[in-house]
Amino acid sequence: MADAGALRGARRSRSRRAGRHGNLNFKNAAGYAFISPWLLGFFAFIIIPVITSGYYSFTDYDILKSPVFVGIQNFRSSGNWVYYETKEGR
Amino acid sequence: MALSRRASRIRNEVLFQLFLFAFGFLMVYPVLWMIASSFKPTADIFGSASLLPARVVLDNYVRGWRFIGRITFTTFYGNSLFYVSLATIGTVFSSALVAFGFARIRFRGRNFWFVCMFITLILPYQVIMIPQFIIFQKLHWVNTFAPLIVPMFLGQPFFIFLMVQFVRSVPSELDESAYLDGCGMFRIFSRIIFPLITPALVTTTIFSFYWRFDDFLGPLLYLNKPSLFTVSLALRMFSDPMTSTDWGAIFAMASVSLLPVLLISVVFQKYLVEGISTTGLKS
Repeated sequence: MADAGALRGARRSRSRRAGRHGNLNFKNAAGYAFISPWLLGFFAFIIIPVITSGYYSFTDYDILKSPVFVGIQNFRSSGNWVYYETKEGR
Repeated sequence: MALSRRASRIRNEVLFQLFLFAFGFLMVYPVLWMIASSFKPTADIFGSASLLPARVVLDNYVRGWRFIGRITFTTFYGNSLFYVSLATIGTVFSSALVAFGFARIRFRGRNFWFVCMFITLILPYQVIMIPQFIIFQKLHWVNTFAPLIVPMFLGQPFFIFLMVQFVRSVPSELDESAYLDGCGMFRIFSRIIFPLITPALVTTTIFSFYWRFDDFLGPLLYLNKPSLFTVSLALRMFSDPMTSTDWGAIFAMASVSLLPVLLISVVFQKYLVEGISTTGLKS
């Protein structure tokens, strides 16, 4: 991969003249360095929560006790109805 | 003939202005009512129909600011300004950094990540709210400002988009000349691009400040001690279902809470001038 990148960089005469900045590996590194804050936030605060959110949807979980896997029960209308009654009725 | 045509034009103009005035008044009326009510004695707020207070009292402001005695609005404004200004600074700098990466550097996977960012814009906050809360709870960040501030230092998709569009409008000849003068990537960003996207930065500052100051859900989730409350949370505390609601105090403090946003908008509007990046360029 590194070789291919170097080759592609060398094939373009302009990038060869541009030297360091034309180097594809350097550009990859610089690009990821610049977007790294967002990448970090994306994985820590978006991707992981979305995945766990999907997982919790298959469990019985009240934050205090650890989640118990219940399959598709939460997606069935009867399961939802019970949830609503207990939460709203208090 | 010519005279009558001009007369009809004037009549149309007058009608149009009247309509604008009436419609504008309709829009701003609730705010005027709130501000006027904040100067009325509590009995007059819902008792009298007149907009202007029959008797101007400042008691609402004193009572509202004092809040529940132990903690006053001085604390809440301190909290709000601390949280809002740090979050805004974080948003502006981190978003600009990421926007430069997306707009100026052609790296492998750029389009993929850009699309990912677009998807996060569409994702409703409610989907990730609960898992995010659990994460912050495990980090022991609940009841601190960290869950509200730290994510802001990791770039906000909406503002990144705004800035990417702006960076693209800056001629790349400027980057190249800076490069020939020996600037590295970071210097090109900090010395060339960052100053030239000032209008986008100012827009981001105003909007970020306004959104964070108005934010209710975030502080409601993560701040549970009254000594940490922001202004938006404190205002809600006035309408306690256990006691009668002190409307005068609510309106007084709600009126005061308009000031910071108004002030920031007015102060920063001055810098919303067109970019000067295209001047002095021959190509």
